[in-house]
Amino acid sequence: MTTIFSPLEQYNINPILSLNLSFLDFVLPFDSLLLLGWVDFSFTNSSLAILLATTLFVFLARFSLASSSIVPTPWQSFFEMIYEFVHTIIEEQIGTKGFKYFTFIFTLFTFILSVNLLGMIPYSFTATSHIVVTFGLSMAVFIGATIVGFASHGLHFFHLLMPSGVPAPLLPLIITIEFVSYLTRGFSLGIRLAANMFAGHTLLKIIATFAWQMLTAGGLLSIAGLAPLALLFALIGLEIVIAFLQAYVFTVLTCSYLNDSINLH
Amino acid sequence: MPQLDSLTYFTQSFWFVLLFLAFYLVIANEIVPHIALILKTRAKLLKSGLNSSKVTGSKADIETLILSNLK
Repeated sequence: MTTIFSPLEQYNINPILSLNLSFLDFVLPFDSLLLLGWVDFSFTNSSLAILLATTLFVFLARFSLASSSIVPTPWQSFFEMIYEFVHTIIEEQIGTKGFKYFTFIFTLFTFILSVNLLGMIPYSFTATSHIVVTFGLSMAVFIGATIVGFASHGLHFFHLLMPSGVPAPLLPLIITIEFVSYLTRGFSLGIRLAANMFAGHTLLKIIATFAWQMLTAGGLLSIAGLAPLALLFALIGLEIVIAFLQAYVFTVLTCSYLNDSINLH
Repeated sequence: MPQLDSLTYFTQSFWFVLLFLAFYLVIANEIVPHIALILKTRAKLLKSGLNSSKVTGSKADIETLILSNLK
């Protein structure tokens, strides 16, 4: 066994069903197809991962809640726990005004959690390890929170950039810093999630390759190879915790940004 | 790094937005109302259980009444 695969190979996007505009090449002039070459509707392994994760969650929830009763069944209790978990986060971060956004935040949390956890299955794909997907989420949250801020406070929303009790000479500096830190929110939210998933899965792949190489080397090295294998098992446990933790962090930060928009500090 | 391959950005974003919206609609129309209904009914039952001395019907009557609300 001398072939060592790149640890980044697991992030490749492979089309399962190719759907692009090339079938239009006899209608459109040649140049326009070159311009529209980036428009690609292919169903890829990333789409399949998201589809599987969301469908699994929905079906699990449906089956668990189908025979719901006042005294909960274990699976019903699990979904009630997720509900109350998100409910508590919103109550602590925003207060009662935040319950308007409960469904969105619940969807956000369960979506990230199920996509992250599906990625922990060997040979599957982690859609949240791609920066485009997490940027889609974080930009939606960032733009949404800004719209909520302007809708509920009008131009008073700019008070967010000006903390009270700051001496006048410092104001230009403070406003610049606050403005930059406000803009960074949208990016840091997405980068944090993608970087965590990317780093974790790359590390798992490297340790797994290392353990595999040692175990197949034969002799004493095979016995010593049990050590990286044990490490791999421990890291998989850690990664499952991180999958949950990153979904939680994303939700809490979303609530905290919404809190700034709704309550202005 | 496949993450920086800009040719895959459109298909990834497109399917992500589509599937997230579908997921949101199912959660908003089905799952969240269902869990909220259970939790509210349970809170109501517990409240009526505390004041059961003032209610004329037996506790089992109230329970079947509220359970029928769940259906």
